[in-house]
Amino acid sequence: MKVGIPRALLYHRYGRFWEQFLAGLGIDVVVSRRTDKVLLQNGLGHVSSEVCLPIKIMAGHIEELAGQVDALFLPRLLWLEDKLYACPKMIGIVDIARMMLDDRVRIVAPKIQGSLWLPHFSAGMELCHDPVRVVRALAQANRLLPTHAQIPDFPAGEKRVALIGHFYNLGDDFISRPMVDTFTSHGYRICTQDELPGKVLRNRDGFARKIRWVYERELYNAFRFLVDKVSGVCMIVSMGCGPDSLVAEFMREEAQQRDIPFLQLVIDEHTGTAGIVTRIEAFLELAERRQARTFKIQDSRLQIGGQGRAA
Amino acid sequence: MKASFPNLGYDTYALKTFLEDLGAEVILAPPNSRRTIELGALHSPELICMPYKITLGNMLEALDLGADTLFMAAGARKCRFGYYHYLHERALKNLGKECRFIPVTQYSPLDFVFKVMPGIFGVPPWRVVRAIAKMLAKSRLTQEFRQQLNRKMAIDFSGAEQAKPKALSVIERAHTLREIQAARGEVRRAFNSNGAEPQIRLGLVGEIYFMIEQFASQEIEKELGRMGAEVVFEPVPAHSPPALFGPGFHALGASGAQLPAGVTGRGSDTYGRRGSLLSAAGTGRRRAHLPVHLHAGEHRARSAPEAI
Repeated sequence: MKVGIPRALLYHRYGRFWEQFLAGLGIDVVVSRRTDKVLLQNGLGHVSSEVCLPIKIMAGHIEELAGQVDALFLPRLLWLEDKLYACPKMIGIVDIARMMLDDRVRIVAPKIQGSLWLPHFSAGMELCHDPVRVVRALAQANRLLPTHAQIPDFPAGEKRVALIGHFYNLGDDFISRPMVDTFTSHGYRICTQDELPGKVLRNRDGFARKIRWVYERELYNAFRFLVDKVSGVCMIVSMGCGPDSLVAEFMREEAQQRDIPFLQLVIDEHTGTAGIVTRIEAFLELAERRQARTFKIQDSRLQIGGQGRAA
Repeated sequence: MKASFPNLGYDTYALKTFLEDLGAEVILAPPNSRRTIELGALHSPELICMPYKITLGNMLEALDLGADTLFMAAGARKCRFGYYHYLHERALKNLGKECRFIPVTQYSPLDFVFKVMPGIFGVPPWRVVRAIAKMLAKSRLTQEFRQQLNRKMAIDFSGAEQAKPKALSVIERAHTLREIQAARGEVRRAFNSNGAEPQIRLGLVGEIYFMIEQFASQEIEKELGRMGAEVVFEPVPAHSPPALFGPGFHALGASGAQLPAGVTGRGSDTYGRRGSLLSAAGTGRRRAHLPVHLHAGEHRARSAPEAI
């Protein structure tokens, strides 16, 4: 039996876990190819023009897999810890897939509510009918779940920038490559939420307590954690992302208060690389100028202090 | 206290009654207009949804008219709507507008009656209960008004347009529960169509704000009425202001929904209503299942309803 996993959305976080889990069940796993222009173009025809870019890409991946596999593994994430919900479009992607495929392909869609184990176990039973094997496969796959226990180092004198964006945008090279390349070619280290420990991302203090979307809280907490360790914050928002449009406003305000440059890049399928590169370069120039200015102020303070002591 | 709140279609009158009964002087925001949207959009984040822009415009216009206290519904958690008030409050502060901003979240009924409202207005709890009763009665009245109006428009458009202002002023003037009851009969008489039946009935479902606020939905009910179609909307509790105050009301509309819980703020609600409207609109007539999607936004053209 061949089961397909679309290389989009949740794949960028749970992909390796799923691959290992399904392989452990003795299933042929087919992962769709990396996102490219053609794949995106195929997806566009299947979804409303008002949804965000990652969903359009997802539609392309589903279409790509449809002819090749017997079943599609497409978990539906309703909520995770603290009853925080995923965004509506991600919850609804299974229904979009059903509409796209009619009955051509079977869809295995474990409904994740809080815990990963039970839904994956029942999905495994659906595919393999052997509880011992399912449990063993789950246990083996478990170590591939992304975990970070350590807070990364932030050495002084290093040029750093925070790239705040959903993991399914940053993880997809088709979307994030131009941004990452521009930053790294200017000698910046990119800090994202993916390298922060869960303890930081699940923080419930301050405004984070009021956020009811699981991935928005991650972004906001990552922003709060990184904002005073970097010389600029760049946020990637998919056009039409409801939760982002709101939480980004709070981040922008906070960055302004701390006098940290904040760049919001809105992306959709029409976004060209050149425009993004230009904007990032302008943003980096601003960040560097700001840093030079603060150093100058500190210098002059030192001098004044020195004179004061001398007198 | 000169209280105001964002317009909410015909239910504006229900909320007005509620606040007046608690002893506030109510300053209604001017009816929604192009200016409201432009004013709101000017001070809004670029990517935020349309109701935010309109409600912010309402608030700014109401403050210009001298309001000093603003009420805003809050607390519907999975939808951006519940977060509006944080941004509203900040936007008003950044604009240098002096006012008291009171977000009304979904309190428990006991808290609402015994603590929150008495705390704001300094009235005993029984007055709050009375005000809620009046608001509910008035909300039912406006719903009746809307149903009758839609029906009349489909049969006799000019007649409906003539009767509308009078019926609205009757609704606005009704203060006691008895008067509200009497207004109901008057509304029915005003839109009496002598047993004539409209040719087409259309079911309308959608996001709560656009279902309530006529201007925001580009007065689609009126446009469709002009073309001879009666617009039917499901009178569920979720579509009246009490739902914005009371806890748990919003779940009632979701009965019969086949979507998984939590598809959006109101997605499963809308989906459930779609089913019951199909059966309501189809009684005794040919069932026409022809869904048409309309997106709302400040740049949308007025001609959208003609797509139907």
